[in-house]
Amino acid sequence: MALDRKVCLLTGAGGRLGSEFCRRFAAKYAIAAVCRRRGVDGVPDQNQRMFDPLDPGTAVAENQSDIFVIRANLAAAQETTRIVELTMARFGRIDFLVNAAVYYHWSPMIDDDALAMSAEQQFLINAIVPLRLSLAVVRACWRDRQADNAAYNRCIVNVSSTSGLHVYPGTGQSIYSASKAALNYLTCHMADEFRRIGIRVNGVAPTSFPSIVKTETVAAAIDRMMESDITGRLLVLDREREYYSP
Amino acid sequence: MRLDLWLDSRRWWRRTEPFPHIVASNVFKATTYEALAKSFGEILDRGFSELPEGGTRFCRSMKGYDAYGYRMPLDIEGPLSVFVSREWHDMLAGIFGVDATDEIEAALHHHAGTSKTGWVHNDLNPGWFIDRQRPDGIIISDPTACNYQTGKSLRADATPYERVRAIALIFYLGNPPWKPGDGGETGLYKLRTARPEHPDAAVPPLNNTLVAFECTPYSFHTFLSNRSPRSTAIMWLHRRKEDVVERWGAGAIEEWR
Repeated sequence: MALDRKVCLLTGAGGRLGSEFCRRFAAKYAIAAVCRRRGVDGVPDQNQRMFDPLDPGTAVAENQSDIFVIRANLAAAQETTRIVELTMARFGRIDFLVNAAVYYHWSPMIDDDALAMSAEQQFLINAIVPLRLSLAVVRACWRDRQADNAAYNRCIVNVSSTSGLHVYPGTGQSIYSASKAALNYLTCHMADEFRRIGIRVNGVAPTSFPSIVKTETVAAAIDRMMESDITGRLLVLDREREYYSP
Repeated sequence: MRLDLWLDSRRWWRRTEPFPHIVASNVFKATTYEALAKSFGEILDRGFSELPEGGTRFCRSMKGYDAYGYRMPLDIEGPLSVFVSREWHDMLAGIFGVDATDEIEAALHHHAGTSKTGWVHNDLNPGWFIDRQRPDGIIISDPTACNYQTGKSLRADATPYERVRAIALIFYLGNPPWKPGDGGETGLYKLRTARPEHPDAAVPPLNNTLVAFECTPYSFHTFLSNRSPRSTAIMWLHRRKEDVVERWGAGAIEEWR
């Protein structure tokens, strides 16, 4: 709990990338970590604290860099309001929103019924939830605080994928790819519309992690986008290079 | 014994969900852990008995529990004696803030591959002892003097007295590498009526890790079915029965089935 840290609302905190982000940046940001089930291994929160077994009554410094875990099912629309309210109740403000929750089902279009059945869920979690949560934060915290928004350099970072930019033949990524492409365009439109209230909106589009790029590289890229002054851009982390799109 | 020389990680975790418990990894320094695992392996190498028997090797002696057990003997020496040491007892009591009463029941458990999932229970059970203190004041249950579960005296000179389990600890050792799907976790639950295969939290059997909790009416847990062998050292500290009755009522104590 520290208002000397900027407040970051992070979805997908229990996943590989979200966990890495929490581990790396819990000391830097006050993180409200939205998880489907449990907290983040190795990061103190309101339900898990470190202690010294031989001196259990003495405060441990690592607990200062704790996160606030919000267990929520993002697929449920009513959860959006609760997430924002809990974050505000805990920290009093929101400075960054990182939409890192993801849902994917990769399989061939012709031969697998499950692909079409998963389409709504993939679009929901990968594109519609970021929209819902962004709007909830904007309306609850940001839309009439232009000066604060500038002072805190407030922004949204949407975690996309190079699958939203390229077709990878034979991988069964069709719906996933389309949902990430939707997120990319949504990011650009949000940047355009939120500019007038002083909110930046960007995306980070990594290729596969940790197999091709390191998870910590992706987490660091999100942090760079939060710290930057740009808006309406997509930072692509591809196999051999980083670049901005469009 | 100086635990500060034995312990590796001095950062353990206190968790509140689904009930208060602690978990720790890299509990002992590597050389100590290796000595513990070696001692465990030596006992394991003595083989198994499918019937209860006294003392020398793992046997099936736990009703309804699909594991082999080996009760740590009164005169246990070597690395495994750490679990019945005064220092270990006092450390655990201090962590949980429990007024523990010096009695320890300790055992080694071994689940062969594909052992059955257990039942959800809380370990708030009675334990019977006779007053035979070691020089450090620790009293270890003595199956030759009285039955730990019933208090039945087995020797003319034994006058058993009753305690109640206060703290349970499970330490994983000597196991093959573990990955999700291998099973053998300790499942933790909010409710007694939970389905065992759907724990609210699960502690995997990673070597040199432990899970421990205060035994309360709500410390629901069980063993989850495994696909590869799973070995543990397990122990309980105890407290006065009247303390339990005062806090939770006499009906909270779970008599042995």
